[in-house]
Amino acid sequence: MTAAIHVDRLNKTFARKTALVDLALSIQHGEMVALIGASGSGKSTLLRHLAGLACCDRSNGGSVQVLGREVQASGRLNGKVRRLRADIGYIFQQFNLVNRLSVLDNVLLGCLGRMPRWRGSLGLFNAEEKARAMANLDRVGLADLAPQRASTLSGGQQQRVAIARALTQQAEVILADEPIASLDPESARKVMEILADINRRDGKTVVVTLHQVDYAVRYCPRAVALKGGRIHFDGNGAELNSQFLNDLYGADADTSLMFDGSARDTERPSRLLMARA
Amino acid sequence: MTTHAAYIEAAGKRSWPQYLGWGLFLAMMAWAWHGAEMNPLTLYRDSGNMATFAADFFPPDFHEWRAYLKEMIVTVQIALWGTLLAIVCSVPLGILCADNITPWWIHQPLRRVMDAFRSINEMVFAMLFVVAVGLGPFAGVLALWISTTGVLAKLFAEAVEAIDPGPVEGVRATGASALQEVIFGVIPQVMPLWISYALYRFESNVRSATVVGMVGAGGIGVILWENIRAFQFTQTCSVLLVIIVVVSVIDIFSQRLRKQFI
Repeated sequence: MTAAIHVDRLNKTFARKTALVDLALSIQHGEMVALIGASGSGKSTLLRHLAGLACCDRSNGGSVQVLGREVQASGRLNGKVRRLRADIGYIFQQFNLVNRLSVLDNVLLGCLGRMPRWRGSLGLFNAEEKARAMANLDRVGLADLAPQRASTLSGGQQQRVAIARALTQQAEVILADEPIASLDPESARKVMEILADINRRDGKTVVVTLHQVDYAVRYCPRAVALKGGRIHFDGNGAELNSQFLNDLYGADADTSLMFDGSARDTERPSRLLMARA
Repeated sequence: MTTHAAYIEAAGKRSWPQYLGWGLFLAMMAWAWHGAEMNPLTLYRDSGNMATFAADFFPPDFHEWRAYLKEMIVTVQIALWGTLLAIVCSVPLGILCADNITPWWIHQPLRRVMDAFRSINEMVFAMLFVVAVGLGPFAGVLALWISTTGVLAKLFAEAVEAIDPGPVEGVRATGASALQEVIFGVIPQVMPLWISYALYRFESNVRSATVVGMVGAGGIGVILWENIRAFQFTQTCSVLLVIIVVVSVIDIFSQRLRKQFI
């Protein structure tokens, strides 16, 4: 069986900075993987390449395959990438909802990749699509907010709407780029619970970049740590000890990044919590 | 504290480029004074003549008010159609002129065309269209259409360039087409500004439509020009009053409406 996500020799250089170096990664169907690393380690860049939202360097012949189909190769996007994206749900740190549209309309946008272009462009969603969107809104617990404008929702609610949009897409692979970085701990926990539930119950492949390692350890059986655009660690999240994390985050290490106490409720020493205050 | 005083002094200090800038500005205005043959003294010297001239306007002669009102309505109708056609054209042109949507080889040439539409005054277009389609309001509609398209496409494009790229990427990630990205990601963001700009241009076009008639392109300008040429200043005065009242009323309503969308 082919892997859900297969990345080979991926290189990305921005104006002066190398973001990804000869990166190779395979993720199997139904896995839930955390991508961790310090700011600028390349984790978000990698995720954007997986969805074809960014293009890798042309020279090194790198490639990205999702669900056995090529998203990009040698710095060129597949000509049908827009159709491929329908199978890849993407959750953004800043939610990226269309503020002036209603919550339901935002969720319905998830149907665009799977309906005739003319019908999608006119916004003519049929009853089945609307029912599917409502069911997914219900699943993230926001059915009652369907008629409201997206801008009126809190950050945590907006992120759940974004997840409902990805679910409506009927994507097999869900990529979440820092989905909880802009949220309060309670909203963050809800969002992570929903993502974990999608992975467990629907068997969807979920890749999530996280800044806070304790969330990674708690929700993701597999953790991939990036440092300087290279894979630094790939394995069971529980193996991540503080010495390793100090190495990963370097001198910028901030204890709050790793254990802010909100995900691991009980066994954190109070000393760390006090250090944050 | 002495250092603070030094900082305050440094912050208040004008640098020599600033003085140079002021010098250049003053030199330019002095140069333009000559070119424009500015002569404020004549205002004072000929004030008697002007007082006599102004007195000729009063009392306003409203005998022909029915004709004025009829032509004023035609004027508004010219503005309505000129603006509507311009809006219809400016929606696609505004998107195509935005540098965050299209590659340079599309938006640069289109912008130059819009510049041309804008740089020529609607009066000039009106004269040309009178030759092309004959005397009458339709020439005025065409003139307003062209020049307003030049303005609105630019304003629409600027609104598009100021959008938040996040929602567009959100729509893109669902597998939407490029057109759908624009429809669902861009248009909802720019809609309030676009409506406001379009209404503002309608206000301006009502004003512009009052003068295109002077070159034969229909509306109240025809009457206005005939009265001025015939030295019938009491009637000219009443026409001007009609214009002032109608334009003001439309401005007020349009402004109220615009505020709803910002």
